[in-house]
Formats: sequence, structure tokens, C-alpha cells
Amino acid sequence: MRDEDHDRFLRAWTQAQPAIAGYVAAVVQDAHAADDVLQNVAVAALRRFPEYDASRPFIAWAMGIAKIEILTARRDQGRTAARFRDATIDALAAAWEESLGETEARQQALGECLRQLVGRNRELVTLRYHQDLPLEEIAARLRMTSVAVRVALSRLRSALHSCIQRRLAAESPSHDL
Amino acid sequence: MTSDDADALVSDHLDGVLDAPGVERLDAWLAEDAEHRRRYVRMVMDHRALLGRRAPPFAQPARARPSGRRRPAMPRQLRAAAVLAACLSVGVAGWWLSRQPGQRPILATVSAASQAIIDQGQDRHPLHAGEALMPGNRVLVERDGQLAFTYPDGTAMRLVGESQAVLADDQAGKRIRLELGRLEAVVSPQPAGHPAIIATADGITTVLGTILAVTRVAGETRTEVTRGQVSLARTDDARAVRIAAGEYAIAAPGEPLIAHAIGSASGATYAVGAGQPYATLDALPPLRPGDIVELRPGTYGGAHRWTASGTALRPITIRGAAQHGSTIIDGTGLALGIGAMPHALFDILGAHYRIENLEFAHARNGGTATGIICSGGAAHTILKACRILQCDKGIDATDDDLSIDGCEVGWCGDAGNDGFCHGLLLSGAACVIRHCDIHDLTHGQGIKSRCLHLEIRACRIADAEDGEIGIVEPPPGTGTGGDVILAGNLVVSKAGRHGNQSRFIETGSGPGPRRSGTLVLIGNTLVAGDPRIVFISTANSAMRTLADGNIFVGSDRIAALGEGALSGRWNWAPPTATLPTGLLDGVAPHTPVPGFADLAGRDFHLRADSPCRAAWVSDDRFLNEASGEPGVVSASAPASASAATVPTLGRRSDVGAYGVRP
Repeated sequence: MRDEDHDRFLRAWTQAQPAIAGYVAAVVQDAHAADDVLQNVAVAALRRFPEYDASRPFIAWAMGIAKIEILTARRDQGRTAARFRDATIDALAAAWEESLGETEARQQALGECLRQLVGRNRELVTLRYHQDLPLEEIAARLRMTSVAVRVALSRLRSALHSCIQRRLAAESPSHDL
Repeated sequence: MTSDDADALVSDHLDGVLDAPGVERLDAWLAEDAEHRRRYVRMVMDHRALLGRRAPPFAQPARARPSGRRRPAMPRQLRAAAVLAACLSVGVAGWWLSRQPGQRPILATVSAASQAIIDQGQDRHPLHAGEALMPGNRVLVERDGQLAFTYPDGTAMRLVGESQAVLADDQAGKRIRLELGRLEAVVSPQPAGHPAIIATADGITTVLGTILAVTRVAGETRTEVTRGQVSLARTDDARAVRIAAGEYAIAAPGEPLIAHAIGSASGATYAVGAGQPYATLDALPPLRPGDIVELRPGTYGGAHRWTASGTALRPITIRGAAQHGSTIIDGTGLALGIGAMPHALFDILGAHYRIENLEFAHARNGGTATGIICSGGAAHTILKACRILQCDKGIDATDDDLSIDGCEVGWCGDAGNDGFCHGLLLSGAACVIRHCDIHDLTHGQGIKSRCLHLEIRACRIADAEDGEIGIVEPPPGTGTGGDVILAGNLVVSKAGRHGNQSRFIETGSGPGPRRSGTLVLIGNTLVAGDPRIVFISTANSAMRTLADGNIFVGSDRIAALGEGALSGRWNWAPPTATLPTGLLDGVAPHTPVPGFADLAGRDFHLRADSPCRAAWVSDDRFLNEASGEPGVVSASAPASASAATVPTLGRRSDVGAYGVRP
């Protein structure tokens, strides 16, 4: 590969990588398996970059490679790599591409919604996301059962989703969670 | 399934606790409706955004600092870099490389490798794509080579040309020690508190997630950022600077550590011209490394000596501000070479100069005045997009690493020094000439070279009165070997010369010891304006010749050989020519001429029906020994040389200058 092509690839990949990583994580549940798949996608994309048609969006092209790598990983590693059916994996790629445009606005809205968290929901976010604790450890810290933590996290996520959607639709700028 | 049930499945999936029946139910729910998939994707996005947040957004604001004058706090990233720099400066530079991990996890995977090797003492072997890199691995990349590798988080790095690095890793994050050369990196966002660190002996670059390049040459380190931001801390005094996108900084002893916009000078920029701070070049203060002198369009009289030196990373640049040709250094009326007056319009005596977009004209004194001289301490000079016209001599250089790119040298010569007024007279160890037009030398040769190593690529060399290219003995003390590579050139001699009638490319006609080494001609179009021309004469040297994919037209005298043999394939020569025994498998000359577009009009592109079309099948004669890839790299080549000259192995290319020309 020529130097300028390599540079073009690096730039394109850097921009696309977060989206590809997100899609892979959406389909591949195991974090280590997702990392492996992402690495394979990067290597495959680099190897196949001479075939890339620059008139088309790079991200869609790379997403196609990601789908192939996910299916390959599932073939090689079994369902650790991806537990959904092929059609679902394919359909999720389309949904992911469709949603990329709202990533930035969504993150802003998420920040606003997080600021409104109070009480146990705030503790859950801190323990789950900022301290990266397993569910059992969170349960012990909060003196809850693991099942109760799962339920609480599910409700928290639903509430955050609703709050974000409302903010994006500018229906309700403030709402207590 | 209710939406609460579905959210519970998604939530369990995100936490990695969803069992197999749950996955099946989730899969079925996702298959039902596009809106389900959108909701799922959004929740995954939110989950990943939360994972990526480094601190809770609801953290309490920091307490206000007490009033009073205090030194502003150094940003955390800079503090860390400065501390690391301080550590290195007191001699514990190897702390992170000296770790002996109990296990050796795979750090990164090679995604592309060419002329790259791993050097682990006894274990020294070429690297290939797919190979794993481990902590402590030392990797070396040779000139013209590259090594690209990818980390599991998507971080991609590439070492290019003559580089050395050691890879390491610990719990604190990615670590690379760049000992020499250039490392380009696209670093994925790194976890909080675990930045990637690229260290050189001069400075430490701390990276959280960005696109950057780090170059280390001759005791200086340059960090350049394309996207994101990094910090660079200097090791000798622990000073640090933050470098944002579009900026670079250089860590060099004793120099200010400042971020500059890419493309701007690391030193001062001096505008010269009417109405500018400096009306003439003579008004400039002494130059320093990294300075840029920019001349506004116009005509400037006078001859100038440049004695200061730049460095490899901070060259001194003297350039025309507009397109070339409009900024003219004019020697009209000057007594060049008389008294204290230089012999040349630019007399370069220092190292690391870049001369760009300037025209040099009318350097005349009856035969020895020159457009540009590089001598004395001149080294690593780059001449780019310059024109040297109507001077006695064009360029006279003893520079040991000279690069001439995109320049024109024409209508030079004077009867007062007939036979010695060459377009280029090159006497240093190595010179690379690319994309130049050297023509109409009225009293000398186009190029006369004593260089140990000479490369001429994609140039037009035409209409010299005394021969086109002369190659004589190398400078004293450098040996008699060294290679000369001509690739993709159009070399044309005129009819009715008043000087030498047969000289075209000639080696070894000087008075010194007989020259050895190899003359390599690949993909050139060689056009004689006189049937007495001998295209290749090595009669007075010991040079051997390799010739592939060339067109010889206008004379039947292909070669006059000395001690060295000639061999080659896929050349076109007239059917009447006497071919040396070493030339094999020539292109069949279906016609007396090779099918140029317009021979009389000097358009030497090939017509569609030319027998030279797709007649050159590149074989393995020019394989680079290190990489196994096509290219010509000679042991005598300078770092500035490139190998990309030979068509892809096994692929058919056009014979002649346009088959391998960019």
C-alpha cells in the first residue's frame, strides 16, 4: 500500500472506529471477543483498503467488513462471539448506521439526564460505570440482591432512554428520574 | 413482550448476564420491528457512552481556589508528562521497559510489514502481517520499509523508513520507545489515567487518543498532531508543552519548547521584499535553525553566502512566496567570483537548507559563475521547484546528501569555459534528482557526477552540446564503487552538436582511478539525435550495467563496454542495431521506430499500436534483498532515495520512460 493510501486509511479508520466498535459491541456480548473482532476488522479493512471505492462512505464499507468478521468469528468461536442470528446481525448494522447521526446530540442529552439523577440511581451509575464493579459487588455495596440490582439497572436504563428521547424531541427539558 | 420486559433483556445483555433462552427472546424481539432495533441500538449507545465517561457528570464542582496570585496549575496530562520526563532525565529511562512480565501477552498484531525485522538478540527475523508483537520486542525498519501494527483497542501505529523502536506495556498503558526514525499513530481513546506514551531520548509524548506522528533524528524529537491533543515533555529539563490538532513541537536541547502551527516555522519567519520588514536579503539578521526566509515576488540583485546551519528537523528554508519563476535572483552586472564576491548567486556553506520556488538567472563571468553552489559545510541540501537559467553553470555541489526535486536547469554555458559548463556538477557522496528538466547546456554536459551514489528518476535531460550524463570517479576517500540508477527518464541528444559527437551516458572518463559499481537503467527512453551516438559507454571504467525496459532509438550503437558486462531484458532497439551479447529477450521491433506519438515533434509517448506497449514483464532481477519486493535499493543510497521504481513483479508495463514514471 502506498504511503498516501495508508494515511488515508488511518484517517478514515480513526473516524469510523468508534462506530464500528459500537456495532461490534452491540452484537458481540463478550467484551474480549468484541475486542478480537474489532482488531480483525481493522486488519481486514487495512488489507482490503485498495478495493475501497472512495466515492462511497467509508463507514458503510467498514461496517460490511465488520459483519463478515462477526460471522467469521461466530463460525470459528461459536456463539461466544455473536449470539444473534445472521438476519439480526445484518438488521442491526442498518439500525446502527441509521443512528450514527444522533450520536453527539444523544451524548449531550445523556449528560443532562445524568445530572438529574438522585439517590440510588446515582449510586448505581457510579458503581456500575465509573467504578466498573460486577453486579454481585454492587449488590453487596447497596445491600440488595443481584436480581434486584439487575431490575434496578434495567429501570435506570429505561428511564435514561426516555429522558434522552424527550430531550431530543424537546418535549420536556426537565424531568426527575 | 412488553417494553419493560424487552428493556430487561437488553439490560441483562449489556451486563453480560443474559442466558441463552434470553438471547433467543431478545433476538426474536429485535427481528420483529425496526423500532425495536432502533431502541436497542440507542440503549447500547448510551451504555457505551456511560462506559466512556471518565468521571460522573454529577461530581461536585472543585472548591474555589483561594484568591491571590498563584502560578496556574499545569494540566494533569502535562503534569504527568513532566513527571515522566523528570524521571527519564535522572536516569531511570528504562523503568517501563525493564519490567519482566510473568506472562507475555500479545501487545499488537502486525498488519503490514516491509523491510521490517524483529531483533531479540539471537532471534532476528523479518516480520510479516499477522505476526504478534510482545512486550519488550525491539523492531527495526529499514530504509523504504514500514511496519504497521494494530492494538486490540484499534490503535494503529506505523514505523517508517530507518526506524527503531521498543514496544512495551504495563498496567499504566501502551508504551513505545522510539530510538530513531518516525512513528505515526492513530491512538484510540485511552482509559482515564492510562495514556499511551511514546518516548524518545529527547522527549515524552503523552497521548489519550489522537492522530499524531513522532520523529526522532539527530538528537531532536518532533511531535506533530493531526487530531486530538497530546503533551510533549522534554527529558533534559522536564518542561512540557501541550500540542493541539494542527500543531507540532520540537524537543531540542536549549531551544524553546513551543507548539507551532503545522506548516509554520519553528524559528522566525522573515518576509523580504519591497514594503516588507526586510527589503533585501542582505538586511536579514543571522539565521537560526528552523527559520524561514520568504521572498515576495520580484527581482533581487546580489549574490549571497549562507553560512548558518539548520538541523534535520529544523532546516533553514529560503523560498519564493509565489509560484516559481516570479521571484528572481538576478546576477546581471555582478562580478561573480571576483574579490569577496561569491562565485554563485547562492553560495550555501551550511547544512540543512531548503531552497524553494526561486529562479536564478544571469550568473555570468565568462565561464565559472554558477547559479547555486553547495560546498564547504553544506550537507543535506534540498533544492525544490527552482529554475536556474542562463548562467555559466547551473548547480555545483559537494554536498554529501543533495536532493534536487522538480527543478529546471536550462540555457546555461559559456564559450569561455567550453566543455566544463555543466548543468549539474555533483561531487558529493550522494545525490538524488527527481522530476527535473535539464536542457540546452551550450558548453558542457547535462549532468556530470562524481557522486558515489547517484539516482536520476523521472527527469528530462536533453540537448547538451557535450553529452547528456557523465559519471566519473567518486570523491577521494569514498572508494571507487557506488551505484548509479536511472529510472523513468527521457534522455535526448540534439543533432549537430558542436562538442562531443558520440557521448550520451558515459562512465569513467575522468582522470582518477577506474570507477566500479553498477549502472542501472530501468524504463528510460533514450533518443539519439545523431547516429554516431553511443548510448552507454563504460569503456573507461569497471562499471557493470543492468538495463531493463529501455528504448534506444536514433542510433544503432547501443554500448561500448569496458571491463564490466552489460545485461538486460525487455529493451527496444532498432532492428539495425548491434546488440551487446548480454541484452536478452528484446522487444520485437515491428517497425524501425518504437511507435512514438510524434517523433519529429518530440512527443515520445507511445502510440496505442506501439510494440513497446505492455511489452515489459518485470522479473525478479531487481528484487530488494531485504523485503523481497520489487525496487532498486543500493547499499550506497542515501536515506532520501526511494525504491519505488520497478513495475509490480510479473505485471506487464510499457517499455520506456512512461512505463515506470509517476
